[in-house]
Amino acid sequence: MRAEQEREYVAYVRARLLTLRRTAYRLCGDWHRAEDLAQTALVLVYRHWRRASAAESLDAYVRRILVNAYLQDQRRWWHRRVEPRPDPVAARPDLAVAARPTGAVDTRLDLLAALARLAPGQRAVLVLRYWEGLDVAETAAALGCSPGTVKSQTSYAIAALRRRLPGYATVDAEERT
Amino acid sequence: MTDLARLFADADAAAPPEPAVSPGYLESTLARARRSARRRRAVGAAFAALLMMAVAAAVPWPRGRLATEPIGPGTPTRPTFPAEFPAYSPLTASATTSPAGRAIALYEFGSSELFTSWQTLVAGADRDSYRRVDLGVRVAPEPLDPTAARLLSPDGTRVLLFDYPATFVLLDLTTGATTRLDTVTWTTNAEATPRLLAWSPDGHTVAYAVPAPPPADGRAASSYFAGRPILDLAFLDLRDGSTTRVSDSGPVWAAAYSPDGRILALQKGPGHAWLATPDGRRIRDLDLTDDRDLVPEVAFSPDGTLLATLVASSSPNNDRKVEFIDVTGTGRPVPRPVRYDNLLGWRSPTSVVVQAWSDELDAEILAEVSTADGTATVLSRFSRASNCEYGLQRCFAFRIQLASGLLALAGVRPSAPERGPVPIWLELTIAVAAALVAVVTVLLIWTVRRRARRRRRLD
Repeated sequence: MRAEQEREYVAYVRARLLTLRRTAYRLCGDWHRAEDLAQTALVLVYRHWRRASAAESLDAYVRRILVNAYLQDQRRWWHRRVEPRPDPVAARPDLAVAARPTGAVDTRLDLLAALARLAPGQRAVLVLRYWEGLDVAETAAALGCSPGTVKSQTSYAIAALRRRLPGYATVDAEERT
Repeated sequence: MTDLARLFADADAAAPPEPAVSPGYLESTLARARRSARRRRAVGAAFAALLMMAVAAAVPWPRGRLATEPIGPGTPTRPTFPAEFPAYSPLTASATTSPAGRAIALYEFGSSELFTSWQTLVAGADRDSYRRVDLGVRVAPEPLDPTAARLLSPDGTRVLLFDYPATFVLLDLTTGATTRLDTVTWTTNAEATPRLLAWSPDGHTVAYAVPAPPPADGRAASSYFAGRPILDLAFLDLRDGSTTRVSDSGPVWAAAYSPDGRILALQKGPGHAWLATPDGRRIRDLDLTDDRDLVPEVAFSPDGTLLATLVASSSPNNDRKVEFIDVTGTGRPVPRPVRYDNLLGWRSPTSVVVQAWSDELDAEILAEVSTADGTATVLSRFSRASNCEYGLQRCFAFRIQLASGLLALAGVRPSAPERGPVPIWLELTIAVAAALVAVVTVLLIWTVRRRARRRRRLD
């Protein structure tokens, strides 16, 4: 890579690193892994910078690389091991009795726990569409699939999330959209 | 905003502050990215090199100047000597894998002072081709005589090699085919081994000598005559591979067929020779002085009236000369002696071909010498290149045999040596070398560009 191109690359990384790391965190649920994923994606972007910088949307290009890196990482054998995750309900017996958690923090914990139990693809589609706020076309571009697939996957993912968050009516309501 | 989006937004709102990015994150990302790019280029270069090697191995390389038209046995072409026998080359192909047709000469070429650079070669008669005829045959170990272990047929189409201890290998120079033939069974109590003597003019029979059986008294000394092991005469019929020993025909030192093949001259010891029938029966004796040896293989003149003999000289240099004797028994005058000691054949009844050293050319030469007036004309010379033994020594020719049936018509051709296809090991070496050059070039370019980039970055 030429020095000028590398300067452009560094400037881009400086500007977008936090956003990229945040997206990675939303995908994987762990800040350390998020940094690793973001770095993996940025290394790939460096190798293909000429093509990336010529893309219609550099952010979309990088996002697609990040999502691919996340999905590939999930498919690797060392990620198929059982990772102990705190179960917010089991860890807090009082929530098992309550019909619905009350605090926003608890809601967040439940949401993260439920997301962690989704399949990587389902998690990615939910994160991109509802957490990152992308529309169907942008999500399809990030996942490298058709809009129809995004819609169907979204539906399955919401159903799966509803099963893991039975106390949240908002998820039921979402399924109707 | 949908309910689910609101749920995520609420989660964001409830989230603790994001942790700071790890120190040096950007730098480590950049370093890893550069490493990755370098590795990718290296892998690309290695792949390209492998691809080149694969292509080099698969695609036939230019094979140098190959033989042009195959020359069939019936093609009327005039045989030729090369104006110059070429320099030693390890790239010379084998006559078995790349036959080049009939040969005008069979010779050894090289040097083995310190390292062995040695080849047994045939020089083409119809084109300037050269092929190895080593064939991996076993030579008789010292102190047995390995010198008379091969013969070139009179028409130049075949070579017969002796494979110690009891096999002949017949090589067809036009097809590269080899045939293994057995010698007669022999045992000896002397340090002796079979010797090839002469090839009949019709090409059907080869006379050779085989150690005589141990004598009745069992003494090793009785197996020698005049200091040499006693060898019996034997014949190999190349038409059916049969071989016969002529019992009690020894000692036989040398032999030569008359041009019509009806007489076989045999040297039976010092100063003693026979004219014999083709099956080895004595016709009459020839009187030779003790210092006189029959010229092996090619002693008979083309008209069958003369026999060439080698006579030791009384000069301080111990030079020998060729003298001629009349075999007609009419007492007709014979030509004057020829002052060369290595007669290789006859061009005509009045001219012979000899191997000699030319001070003027500083080279070994083949010369045509007139028996009438002794004038010599250079036909061919051997390369003066000093590329034997890794460039340490000059190469020399030894044990030259000429296709006696081709000499009368043979002309001289300009030198443009064709040594056959490039050996496969050389192709692979070239491919590997090309791949290495490619890799080094890519790495060099990459290094230069990388340094330039670093300089620009520092600026």
